[in-house]
Amino acid sequence: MATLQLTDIGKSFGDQVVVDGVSLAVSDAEIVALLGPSGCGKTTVLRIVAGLEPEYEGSVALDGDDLRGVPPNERDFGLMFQDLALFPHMDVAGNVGFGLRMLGVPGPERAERVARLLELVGLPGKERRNVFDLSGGERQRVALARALAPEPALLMLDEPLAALDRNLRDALALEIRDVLKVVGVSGLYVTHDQEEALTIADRVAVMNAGRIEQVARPATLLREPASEFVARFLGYQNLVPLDNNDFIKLLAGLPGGSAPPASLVLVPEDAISPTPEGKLVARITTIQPRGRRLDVWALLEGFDLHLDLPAAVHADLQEGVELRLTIDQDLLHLIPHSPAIEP
Amino acid sequence: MDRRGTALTSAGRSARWPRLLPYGWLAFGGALTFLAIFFAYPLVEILRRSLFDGWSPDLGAFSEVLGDDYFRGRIFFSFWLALVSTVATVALGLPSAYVFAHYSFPGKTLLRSVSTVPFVMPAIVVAFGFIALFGPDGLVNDGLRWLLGRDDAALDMIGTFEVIVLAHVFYNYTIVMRVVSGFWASLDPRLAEASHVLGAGRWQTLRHVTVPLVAPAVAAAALLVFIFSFTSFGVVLILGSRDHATLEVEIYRQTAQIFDLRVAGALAMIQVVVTFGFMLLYTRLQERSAARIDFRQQLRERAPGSVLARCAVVLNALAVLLVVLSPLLALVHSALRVDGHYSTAAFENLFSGESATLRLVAPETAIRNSLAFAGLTVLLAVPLGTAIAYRLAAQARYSFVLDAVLMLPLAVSAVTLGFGFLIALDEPPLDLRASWLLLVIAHSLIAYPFVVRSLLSVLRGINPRLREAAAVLGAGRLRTFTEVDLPIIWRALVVGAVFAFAVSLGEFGATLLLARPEYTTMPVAIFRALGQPGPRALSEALAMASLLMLVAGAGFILIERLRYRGSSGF
Repeated sequence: MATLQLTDIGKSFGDQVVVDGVSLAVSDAEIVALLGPSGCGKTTVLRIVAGLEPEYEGSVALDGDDLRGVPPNERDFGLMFQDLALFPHMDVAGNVGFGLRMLGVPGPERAERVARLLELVGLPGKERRNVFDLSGGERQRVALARALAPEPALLMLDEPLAALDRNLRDALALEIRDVLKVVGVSGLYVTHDQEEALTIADRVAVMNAGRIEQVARPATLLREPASEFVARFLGYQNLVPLDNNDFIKLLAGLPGGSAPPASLVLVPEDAISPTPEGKLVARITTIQPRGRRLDVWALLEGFDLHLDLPAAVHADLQEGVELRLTIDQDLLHLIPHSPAIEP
Repeated sequence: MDRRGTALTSAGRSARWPRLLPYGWLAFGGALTFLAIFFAYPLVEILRRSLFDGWSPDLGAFSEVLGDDYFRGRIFFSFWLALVSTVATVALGLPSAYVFAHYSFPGKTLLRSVSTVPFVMPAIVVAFGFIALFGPDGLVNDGLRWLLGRDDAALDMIGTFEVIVLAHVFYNYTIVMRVVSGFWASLDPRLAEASHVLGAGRWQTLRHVTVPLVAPAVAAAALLVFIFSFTSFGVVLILGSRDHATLEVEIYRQTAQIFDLRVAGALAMIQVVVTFGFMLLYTRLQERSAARIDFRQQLRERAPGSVLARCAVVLNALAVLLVVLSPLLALVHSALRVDGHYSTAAFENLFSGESATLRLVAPETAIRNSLAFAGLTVLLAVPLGTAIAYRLAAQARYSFVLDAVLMLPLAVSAVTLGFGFLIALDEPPLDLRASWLLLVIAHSLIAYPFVVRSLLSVLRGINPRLREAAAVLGAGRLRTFTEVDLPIIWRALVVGAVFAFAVSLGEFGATLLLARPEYTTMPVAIFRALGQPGPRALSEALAMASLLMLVAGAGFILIERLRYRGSSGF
């Protein structure tokens, strides 16, 4: 099967460095998500791997063979585009069967494999449908089937769900993961949506400003973000400077090791629970409803602590009122401070 | 994944080979080389002849031309004719554009198609149509004779200034109508609504909102009409008297009859500078009018409600039919009328082998030549135009400058081009004066801008991800072209090809100057027939012109069937 190895990939457009020293491996049948804000260079990495950006630094290797100079049509990769790029002049079967036709697979076998693929993505019998007549979700499935048809060694997906609404996106993310696992193909999944990345991927690489900040399994990533950027990108808001002595002395179970003075302590929202028996007393400064959750900020020893609470349970909270809290000290995590980073 | 082994071997192999040069750049390089040799070089040669004596500067030809009352008169007349033609065309085209942009009515699509017919009609056909309409024995005079009971021609317009202007209106009316109505219909109606809501009345809205918005499109169309009228040749040569010679006609006379190449060069240079200037103005205007307007919501056409609106719609339809169809119908009518009777004798004479009039060349030879040149022109102009359109579509920055430069053959008159060929391509290794190739090249230069115009908007609309998707799915460069590009652009390609065919079929100025007797085309044969004595000569010329009209008309129907609905650009 297939292992993709990116080593020290770099790419500039003019004097703007878009990708800077990216190294990443995708092992056999593994799904790796490339997560980052728009403009961080993740799509460029994908295009380099696909062979659509022939000029770059570093190396892209598949099972140890360097792919430099190999045109996209001779690489063994599939790519699902952000805007899908379904061929408007072909029907569903024409689109899905395109790659097989390029391989010279004869008609009857092609029809059979197209039918199997359409069944796999939940569109059985829709061969003759015009791609314009399909719904947004159906088009995604056609694009997925088309990318999988030539049985690529690696499937790349570039924000394939970005154009869909929330509910459909959640359902399709799971479906894509299932299909990829059934087929057993390696996947490189680019997205700016952390939920999507954490849902779909075996490992997540967080990218910022052209560099990879951290590669880890979803659980590890959530538990031990390696930088302030990663923590903030995952939605954590309580990053307490280590020199805030009044607050820090409340935390008994700081992770061991000698931390540099500029470090931050991550107090995950999930570690904070308001209970009547809590020994910590904070004063609520702001309450902001957000659907079924409440964003609550409460001042604790000079630090405006963020709490993420279920709205139905805490409907009686009011600004200016005191709140008793406990903090699960086992979930605290020490992060080296990196300046000049926007969340 | 069973094929991964083979895929990797082929990957490894091609990794050692240098990447193939992109075909697009190769083709564009070829097109540029072609244009440099056959377009730029002849123009430079004209410049050299008119500005230099050998290699030393010599402005003698220019001072000779500019100091001469006659030549100054020709320059002034060219401007005057173009100006009057433009004003008349815009005056007729604007109300029509308003009706087409604002009202829906039965037969609208057909009427719009009919209004475009003149654009593919050869100048020679148009000229003969006007002779058949307004000549001493034309339809109008027949009617007047019958009405007034007189024997003489009451209204002989042939040779007058007015009939040339009318022919220019016939030719260019559709440009104003299509460009302005397309633009007008795409204006956001909320702008006018906003003006009303802000307290502006009907006339204030027209003055402060509608007119400033539509003005750039009107100006662009007017400039195009001006350029075409300024460089008009066949119509002026045939319909005008000696006093009506434009610069274009004068260049032809100096070259083909008086053989004063220095003066011809100076005149051609003056004309080229003027048309280049107007062309640049045109492309800039087009840019501005395209960039400034928000095209979100389209003007909704409505059925004409008031009596006034109904009258406008009916009048518009009558005007279009009268302007466009009357010269063409008159042509066929005259061709079918021999000695006061209806008969197909003129057509039969053409092919009977005893054609009295077309002595210089057998009619079937002219027809064969025309079709052969048109076919060869398609073969040359389509690849040329395609290569250029691809480059233009891929060009991100300054594409309008490149666009203007590559459209220049549209602005340079055919006679000037032919003249440039005569003086530039006259010695080895490029002595093509005796070759039929010269005609094909000239026709292709005049025709390829139409291929580019036809392709460009479609090419710019292709999502580049489609090509990347095909590449990732295993299609090489050529395969991507045949599998993705071709199915999407083939209609535009055929439209461009038919335009090229029609342009070559009707090309008159350059052919008249360049064609050897054995390469005479239909338009040239028709023109020569006009110089022959006797009524039979005229009727056979009319019959030949009718045939030419039919072929052009058939091509036109093909274009209209294939053209993407709603595309209105030129």
